[in-house]
Amino acid sequence: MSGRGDDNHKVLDVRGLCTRFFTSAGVARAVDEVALSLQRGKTLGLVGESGCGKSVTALSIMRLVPDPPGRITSGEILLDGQDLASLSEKRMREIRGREVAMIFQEPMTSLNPVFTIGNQLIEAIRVHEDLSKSQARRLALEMLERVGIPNPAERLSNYPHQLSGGQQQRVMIAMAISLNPRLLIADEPTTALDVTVQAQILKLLDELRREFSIGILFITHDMAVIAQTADDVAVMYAGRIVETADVFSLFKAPRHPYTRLLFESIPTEKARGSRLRTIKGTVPPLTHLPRGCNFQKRCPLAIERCIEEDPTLREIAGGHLSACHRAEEVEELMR
Amino acid sequence: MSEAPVEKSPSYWRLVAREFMRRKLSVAALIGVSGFILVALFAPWLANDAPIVLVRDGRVYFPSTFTYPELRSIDWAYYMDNLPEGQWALMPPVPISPYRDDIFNTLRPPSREHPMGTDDVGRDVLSRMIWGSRISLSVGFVAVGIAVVLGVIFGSIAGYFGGMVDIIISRIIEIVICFPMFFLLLTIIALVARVNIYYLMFAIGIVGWTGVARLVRGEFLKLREQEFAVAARALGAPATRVMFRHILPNAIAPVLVSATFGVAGAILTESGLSFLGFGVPPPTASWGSILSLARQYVYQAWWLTAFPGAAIFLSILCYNLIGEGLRDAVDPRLKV
Repeated sequence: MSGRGDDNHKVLDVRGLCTRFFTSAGVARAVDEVALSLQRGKTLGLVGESGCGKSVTALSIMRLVPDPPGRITSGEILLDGQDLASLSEKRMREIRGREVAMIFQEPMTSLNPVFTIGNQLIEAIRVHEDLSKSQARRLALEMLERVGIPNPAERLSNYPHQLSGGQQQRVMIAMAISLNPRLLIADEPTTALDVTVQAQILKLLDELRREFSIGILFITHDMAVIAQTADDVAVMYAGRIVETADVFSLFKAPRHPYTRLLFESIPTEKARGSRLRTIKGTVPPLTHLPRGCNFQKRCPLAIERCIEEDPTLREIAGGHLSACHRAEEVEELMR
Repeated sequence: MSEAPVEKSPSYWRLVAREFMRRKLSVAALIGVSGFILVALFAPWLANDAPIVLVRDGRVYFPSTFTYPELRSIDWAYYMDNLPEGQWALMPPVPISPYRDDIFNTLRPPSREHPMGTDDVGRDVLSRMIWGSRISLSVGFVAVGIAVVLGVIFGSIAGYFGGMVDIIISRIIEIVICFPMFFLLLTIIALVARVNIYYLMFAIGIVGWTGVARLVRGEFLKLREQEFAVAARALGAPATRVMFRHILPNAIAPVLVSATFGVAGAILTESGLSFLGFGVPPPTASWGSILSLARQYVYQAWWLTAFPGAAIFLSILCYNLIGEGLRDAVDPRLKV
């Protein structure tokens, strides 16, 4: 660990993270040698299709992978230089919620249906802060107001089912930021919401990020959301990072055929009326990954070498990394 | 039904109560059970030799509530028959204690003096029924209380942690279930030299926790995957807090339903044990022990069988009806 110094501006630095699930069907490499880095006050987008390991990566950072069957087998998760992977469970509990907070895909189910909003917010605050009930209540009110909930005092005595999906997600966000964490993991926070509400929530997250300079790890499968929110992007496929770059370089010139195909499967105005492009096939079973490149079966550019040799992540241009043998040719061949 | 104003937020239990109140039969059963409970609670003032209030030498006594050193030597049955001049007393509605025998009035059919007749040593059956309800109800509640506490603890640990812990607890549950409950109980009771009512409660409780444990385990397995459980952990809540504060309140409704049925089962079990002579030791009255006595006099004294039998039948019917009403009321599919 290089301690403070040059790592200081990196709020999150994940190195060589491997999470395995030991199931009766075999060992699933849900997260394989993943490296991520996120600067304070920035947003890192993590994209990929369902089942590629995005959520397990998030849970691994929180050390909440269900064990058994899952386990982090190697790697470092540096939060401001402190390795979360080697902390005791007790120490980790102090970090969860206070330094790293998380919001989830389904706001409806992430709030406990039998308690009022106020009850849950106040409890979340009091788990970490030595505040009296009335102090915690005041903070909860302030937070609800900050995330744009109308009539916060009245809402405190409401049950989750009495709120709309967007409001529920706002409550989750209020709960997450109430202790002023350094890192916020947002696991598909807008997927369950309709598009207009989605835009409002994204805007809110962006404001909070600036205001409190929180680093946000934003997980989604929606390229359009990434374009709106992320500063940097990591593309994940079958448990691995296959491409990372800043958002402009990635959208301008993707260097991995998978990223390229993801772009093509976004419906656009130009392609109106024509059939939407999809990526053929599915993610290979994580228990039985092929030799060579994980994407070979679905890749239009696959050559002999892709079957033989596993591509590693390498730098193609300044800060732009890709794990493809033909990274340099992607732009030209997949026009 | 008048609707509350829009902003008013009915809590879950209020919704359940409203739903329960719609079922007339269950409400009737609830009233019935409340009646049984009141009788049990007020037994000393309902059936006793000693008066409720006694005015003697200018002082006011409550002999059925407290014991007084200066009144200790009094035989209340004799004293009340020959109440001295100038003293005044208010007797309970049934002015006979459950233990007062009368060898000149054995096995008398119901009369004005003994509304439910007398038993083989001339004790008043109504008085014994009233005091017996204490045994039956307290055995029901305490035994089920023990069963629910054990069941919730084991079930939630098994369901929440899963894996090896779950396998071990589930196997223990299956082993306990494999024993026929009644014979397991007889064995436990045979092991202790002097049976008293607390052993009975304890024994019924520790053989009855498995049903609750399985129920709670199932609920926890389902609920621990819910995002609010993960969210609670992501906020830094320790395992015990997630289990008992976040998950358990969501799992408690089915437990409550099964506990209600459990009370009925425990009452029946106690009656069965007493009937076989393994229950509360004589002369303590319980519904089962009155029935047990009745066995010898089935042809001569119908009242010895009919009244305790009816009491057992009615109370169990009531508990089951409440359980059924509760089960329907907590069913989330009936809401919206």
